Amino acid sequence: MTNVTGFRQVILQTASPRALSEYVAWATTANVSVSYTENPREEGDSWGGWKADDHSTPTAVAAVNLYLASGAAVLISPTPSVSLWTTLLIHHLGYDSSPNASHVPRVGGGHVAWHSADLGEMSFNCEPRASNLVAVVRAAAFVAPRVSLVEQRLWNESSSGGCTGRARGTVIDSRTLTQS
Amino acid sequence: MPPPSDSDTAASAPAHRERPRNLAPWQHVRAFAHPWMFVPAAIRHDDGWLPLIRTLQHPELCSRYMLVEDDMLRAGLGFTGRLLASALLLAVRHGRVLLEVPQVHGTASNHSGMPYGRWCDQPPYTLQCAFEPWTHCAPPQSHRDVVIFETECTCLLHGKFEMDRMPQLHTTNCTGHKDSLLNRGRCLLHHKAAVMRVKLSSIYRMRFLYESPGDAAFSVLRAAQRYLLTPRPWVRALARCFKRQHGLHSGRFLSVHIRSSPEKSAEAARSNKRMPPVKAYIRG
Repeated sequence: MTNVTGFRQVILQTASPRALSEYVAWATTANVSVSYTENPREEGDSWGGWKADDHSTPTAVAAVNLYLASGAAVLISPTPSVSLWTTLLIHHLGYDSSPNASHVPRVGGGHVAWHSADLGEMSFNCEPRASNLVAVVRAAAFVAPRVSLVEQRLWNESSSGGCTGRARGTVIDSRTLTQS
Repeated sequence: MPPPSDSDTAASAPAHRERPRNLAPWQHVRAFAHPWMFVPAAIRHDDGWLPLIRTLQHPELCSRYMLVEDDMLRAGLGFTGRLLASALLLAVRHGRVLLEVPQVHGTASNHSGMPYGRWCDQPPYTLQCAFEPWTHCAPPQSHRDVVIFETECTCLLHGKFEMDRMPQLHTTNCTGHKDSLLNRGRCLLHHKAAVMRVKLSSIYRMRFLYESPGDAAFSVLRAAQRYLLTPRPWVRALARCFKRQHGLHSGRFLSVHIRSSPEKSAEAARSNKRMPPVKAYIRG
């Protein structure tokens, strides 16, 4: 993702210390700068960080992270079908979260060239069972390269790994999709 | 990062706020795409309905309320925000102002009868510790009649609104009743009481309020969530400080949210879904 977009800075939000550790370790090798809020984290939680004995801190962390994420160029998060926090993040980015966006292409695995006239939201699934991630891209963040190019690269990157997915936007190259 | 106890929080803010002066003009919406909620048939993109929602939450005369009590102890802010958005759209559709009130009975570990908020340990014990107030309207006076809506079925009870003594409820289970949906709708739509107090768990039980709301609902839901969860100045100040400290500029970084816990994985598995593993974020 960082290669595709050209950005080397990531704000990471997670309640999992293990996930934080794994991601930071990868980022170090990939020359990616990772920033995150300093707050208590635990592996076992019914939802992202709520504590029975301290209500204010998780709320403050969530509010700050929500506001920070609203200024991102790209959001990577589990699809709204498994995390309504993602819905909230998408809404604060300024996009709707309708699962029924018109003209949504559904394609199979393999390398599929994908183009769209405008940039919005795409999700991709790289596991045998549904384990979707969603990428929401802020068009205004990409003057150069053009947003459609970023989106195309994103799609190519994920689909080349055997991922499947769907995306919003107007499909220009429907012939390629048919071949898949 | 606890919220500061300064003039930036509602705890020390004036109890009675002034009605904002920069409100969008009130307008009458004639056609709706949802039978119960404020989902206008005319779709407005780009938060087009947000200014009207804000106006509806700031009436000239504060007379009709929907008080929501967040008792969804095991729901995250994402799910809670989704339910609250439905509650807001329900309230403004029926000419009510949505106002969050703290729990009064607390949890099993807190039977003190003192106000209890699962989002905040200090006044106002609600989400308004971190997010902007939803209305300038002050909470209704304790002597006013209130209707308590606690389940999706038998829901109406006249009583007095007292923070420390809630009336006992008489509920019946009408699950499976062929007319239950209509009855629920009647409960919500046609009651004339000035104040209705709703537990968020009741909104949760009324799945027709948030499941498959229709395409027209999504842009309104977005506006509702953005309205309800507008960060307070101290949150924005903290975020700006964070960005300065880390050399971040808006629109020039990626935001990655990794949701990973055994409980969440089990929850997803029950729906035959799987949470993305950490490696998927790295590969993606």
